[in-house]
Amino acid sequence: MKGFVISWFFPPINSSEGLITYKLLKRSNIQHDVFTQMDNKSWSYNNSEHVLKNKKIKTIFGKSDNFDDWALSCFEYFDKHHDEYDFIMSRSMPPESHKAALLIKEKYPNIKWIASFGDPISESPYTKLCKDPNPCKIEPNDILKYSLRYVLSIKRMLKSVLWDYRERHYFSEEKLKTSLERHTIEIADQIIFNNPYQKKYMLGQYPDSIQKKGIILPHTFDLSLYPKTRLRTSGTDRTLISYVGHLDNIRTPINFLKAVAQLKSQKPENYYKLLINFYGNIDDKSKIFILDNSLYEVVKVNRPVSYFESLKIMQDSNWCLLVDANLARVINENIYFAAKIPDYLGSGSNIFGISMIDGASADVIRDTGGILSSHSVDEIFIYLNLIAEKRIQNKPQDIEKYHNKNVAKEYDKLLETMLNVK
Amino acid sequence: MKLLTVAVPTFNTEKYLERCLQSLVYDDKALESLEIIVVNDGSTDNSLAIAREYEKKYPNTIVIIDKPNGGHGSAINKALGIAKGKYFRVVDSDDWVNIIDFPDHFKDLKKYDVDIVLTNYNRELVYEGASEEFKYGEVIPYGRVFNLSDFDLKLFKDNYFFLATSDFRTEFLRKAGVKLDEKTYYVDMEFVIFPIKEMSTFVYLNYNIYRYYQGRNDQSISAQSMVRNRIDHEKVLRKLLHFYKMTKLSKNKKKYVAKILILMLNSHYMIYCGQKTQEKSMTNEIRAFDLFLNREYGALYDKVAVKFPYIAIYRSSKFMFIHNFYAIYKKYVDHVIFAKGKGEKYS
Repeated sequence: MKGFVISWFFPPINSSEGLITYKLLKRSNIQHDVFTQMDNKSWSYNNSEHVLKNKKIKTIFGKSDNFDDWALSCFEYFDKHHDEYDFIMSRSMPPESHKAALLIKEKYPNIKWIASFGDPISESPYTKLCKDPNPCKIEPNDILKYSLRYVLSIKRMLKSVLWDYRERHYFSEEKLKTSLERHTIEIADQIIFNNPYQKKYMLGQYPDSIQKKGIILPHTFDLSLYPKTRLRTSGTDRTLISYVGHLDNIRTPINFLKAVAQLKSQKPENYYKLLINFYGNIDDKSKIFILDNSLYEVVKVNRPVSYFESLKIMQDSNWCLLVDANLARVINENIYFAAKIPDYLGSGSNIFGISMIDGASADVIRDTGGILSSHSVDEIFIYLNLIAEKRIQNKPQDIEKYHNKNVAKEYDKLLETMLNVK
Repeated sequence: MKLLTVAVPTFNTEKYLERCLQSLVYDDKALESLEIIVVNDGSTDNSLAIAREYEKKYPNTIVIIDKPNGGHGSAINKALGIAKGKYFRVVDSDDWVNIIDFPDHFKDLKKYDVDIVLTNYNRELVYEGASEEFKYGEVIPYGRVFNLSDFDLKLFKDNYFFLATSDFRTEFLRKAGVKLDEKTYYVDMEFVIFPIKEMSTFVYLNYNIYRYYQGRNDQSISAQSMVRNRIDHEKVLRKLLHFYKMTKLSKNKKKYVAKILILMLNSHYMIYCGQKTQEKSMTNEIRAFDLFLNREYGALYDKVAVKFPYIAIYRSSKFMFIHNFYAIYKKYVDHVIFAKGKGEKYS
């Protein structure tokens, strides 16, 4: 059996999506050819994972001038080699891999297709939160808040109309994404989600026949990728907390930093027991907060690191920190399962997660014995004290279900059922 | 003797309980003076196991009552029945306390012998990812013992002795015969009003203790829950109105109770006019309640419409144009429940 995987990201490109795919395919018993690309200019990752190779995985590099050309070159490649493959799998980041798969499925309707969704393509809660409300629009029940002159201002009205026009343009792009997602869900033979909340969010509106196609394969860790020896924080009694990954205005550590600042002012003896390292991009507001509150003795912001370095950092830390976006304004449950969580789990270090109380990350952290806090500064403050005083630690449990060998077994079983191979 | 008993009514809050208990037992030095009664009110999740774990770790501090489900009120009744602390406080299991101010306030608690000790609290707003501080201290001088019968009620503004802000003297509660309704929502209002007849002194201490976690969909104060449990709201409201009418109180206490009732009446009208679509049964319910209020409590009937003019408009529409009030309601929810601006306490 052999599969054709369409994934813009794949090692050597150092990206979360590519690494997730790699870890899964590596432990599968099935041969996979991965159609990917080598250009990474538009993304902030480094090309540094050349050591991630596996004899069961062959990489094919397509054109990478733009996503559409890449999708087309993928289709052309498959068209020439279609006899070699029993199934195709497309990954959703970016969504163009589904586009390529749709082209293939159109020409070869009998080929089985697994569509994997890392995140929703349309109706993304994250994108919704990024959108600014129209600042010139006046809601009817707010009309009394403004002066009559402002309410009747032509300038304000024009600005408001222009804003809405721009939004509509944005929505036309959204419509395309929605249509791609809908087609993919309707036509694919199986759909992989990484957590049940995501499945409910994306398939909840569809009939049972389509909902049945959805299965959950969680993100994984790969124990063989971690360094053999762990250093921990040698030469210091300070408790090392590390965050590895991308932070921005939405997924911001600002409340965590506020709790650190509170620790500094209210419990300085505990503050100096900590050493907190961030690796990767961090939003400007948080950087300024660190400077304004002189937290730099304890909080360090470091450059992004390669995947291997990140695993080493996780392993050498006392605590791995997770910061999720607070999406409560747009959604009640967090549908995102951060891929770094299983990597944290594999490292064997303690995990301290800041996430929405209900949702994918929270469930995984709770189920595996980690510490979870809401985005409340006061709650984070409690846990920082307990961490600094070494009065709390994880009670690891049920970690094996995130081991890539176990998830790959599930994946192989899925393929066997789908292809009816005994 | 313990200085403070904290009752933790618990019903299916496995996601929150650990945070609550962790905050209460954080300071080792305070444990000797503290009694925590976790009342497991028939939880079907892991709450009891979490409580047992803490009981094992802190056997001299934590007591567990495991009982069939009887509601928030029944859990508080049980805890009050066995409380050993001089003072009694309720901390809901999805809320928590500040780990610095909570143990710190013990040293001042020892100094006073009053019926209620008032402290500040924060609303932890899930939607905002932010926290809003509520302080009595902006208006009430701290550390001074007051008597409710001659206290200038204007200093309370639209606030009162909230469950989240008060340590009650246990004996005072028992003397007042506080027994809350079982299997009923919103009984915390009974807790706030019934003891008033026996109450004399209170003091305000400038500690910010309680962390009130707001924004869960299944919370009793969420808009959906208020609609679902509106009959309970009316039941409690009628009981409190009856108390107001039948109980002999000093002039000031009467005024104080009326103040709370007006806020509660506002909440009650809000539940109905907040509906997006008009349901005849609900229209009939609010009409019947309004008639009852007018007939039995004319003064309150008038006062609530003066303080909240939308009620007068609502009445004049014969409670018909409910959907027109949705915008007002949304604004109210935004401003009050999720504290996006200033507004009255949703009681």
